[in-house]
Amino acid sequence: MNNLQERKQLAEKVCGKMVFFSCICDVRDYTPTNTKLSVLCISDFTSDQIIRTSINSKLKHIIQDGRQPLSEKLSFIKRLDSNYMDFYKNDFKILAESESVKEFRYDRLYPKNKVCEEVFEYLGLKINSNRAQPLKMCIYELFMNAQMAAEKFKEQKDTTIISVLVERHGKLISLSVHDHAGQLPFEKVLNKLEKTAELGFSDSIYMGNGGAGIGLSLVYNYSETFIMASDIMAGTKMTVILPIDQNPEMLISNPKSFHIIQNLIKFKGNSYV
Amino acid sequence: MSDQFPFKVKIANENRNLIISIQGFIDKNFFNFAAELSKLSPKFDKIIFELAELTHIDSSGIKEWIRMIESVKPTPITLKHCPVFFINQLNMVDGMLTFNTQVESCFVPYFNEELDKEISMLVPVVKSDSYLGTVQSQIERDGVVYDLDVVKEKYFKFLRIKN
Repeated sequence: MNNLQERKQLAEKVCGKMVFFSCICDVRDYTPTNTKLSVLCISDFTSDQIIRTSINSKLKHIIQDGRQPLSEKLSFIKRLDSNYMDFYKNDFKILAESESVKEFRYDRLYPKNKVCEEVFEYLGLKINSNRAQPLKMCIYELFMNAQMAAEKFKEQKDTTIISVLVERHGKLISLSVHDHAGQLPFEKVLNKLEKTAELGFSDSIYMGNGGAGIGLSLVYNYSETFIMASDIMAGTKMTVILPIDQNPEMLISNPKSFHIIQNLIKFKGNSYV
Repeated sequence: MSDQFPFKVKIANENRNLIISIQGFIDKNFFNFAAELSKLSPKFDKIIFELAELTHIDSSGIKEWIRMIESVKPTPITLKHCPVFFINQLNMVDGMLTFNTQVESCFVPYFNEELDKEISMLVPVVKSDSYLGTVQSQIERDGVVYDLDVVKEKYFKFLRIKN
């Protein structure tokens, strides 16, 4: 769906009188200095352009048409509008028409290769399947990040449980890893993603303290939709949506959508503030 | 290597070549092995990595791999039997392959959409202008025809990497 008018109509149909109608715009209409835009519905943006746009304009939601229909992506934002904290609930479905949903709960010390094996077994996938390697990478990286957060906050939080939520709709998978503990410095993460894209992976290794951003960059590159959510009470939940019937080369070039969900986003009347 | 590590390493010495077979997945614990290897490397003419049984390499493992490659320079490194995911990472993550590193053979993925079946075929890798032409676009196994599941120019991008 590339026609601007069509997308506007769809957004109006799905989201009613919400802010999204006025925020749907085409790349041609887009001005980076217009910080009032909170949702950008675009087409043909590269993964690097999306990160740069989010940093420069403080955009929280950038969506593109993909394997998951645009209408579903808009509905997702609409559901967040009623209460963004719902996103942290285990029964909050990411894929509107999931055929199967399962929550796995692990202790923070559980080995990540076992997590991967269990998720793959549930999905009926072969662990060494070439087309499922990006999903494997996402499980390893997101679970490893959650383990690090759970370790860091183990004194302050009474739980060190990590939830892994898996949804499936045909060949589309949604994977969420929720650490119930950590707080994600969004700006820092975005900057690392941008630096990694700009400098390349090898140079970014020597960049500052903490993770180099390689793991999240790989996850982002393989995802069709990448969602980062963090709240002081609810912890951090990272979600990726990706198809498992494409080879990794194709996944990298798929149009991506991107969401940041944080407690600073509030709605006033019909608009984000 | 201790059992707490997710990977096992077998080392052999053949005609001043150090042959290292890695089994399992590489993570941050590769650091310890890489540190030992950098001390050993000057004593050998070449380091050969046998990667057929490598199952995964996570981002912390990628970091240690890059550090290891840097630390053994200029000793030549040969990579044999590289799995498909490893080739994808070589192509995506710059620094995993340097001027002293060469891929000798790798697996190439093939897929049959109708049967939803995939297989990988081991191919020798040769740096030549005509090499891509030798990579088969289709193969047949047990009466089933499989199509190449990658774009040759993208999958063999590592042949053009110069670091």
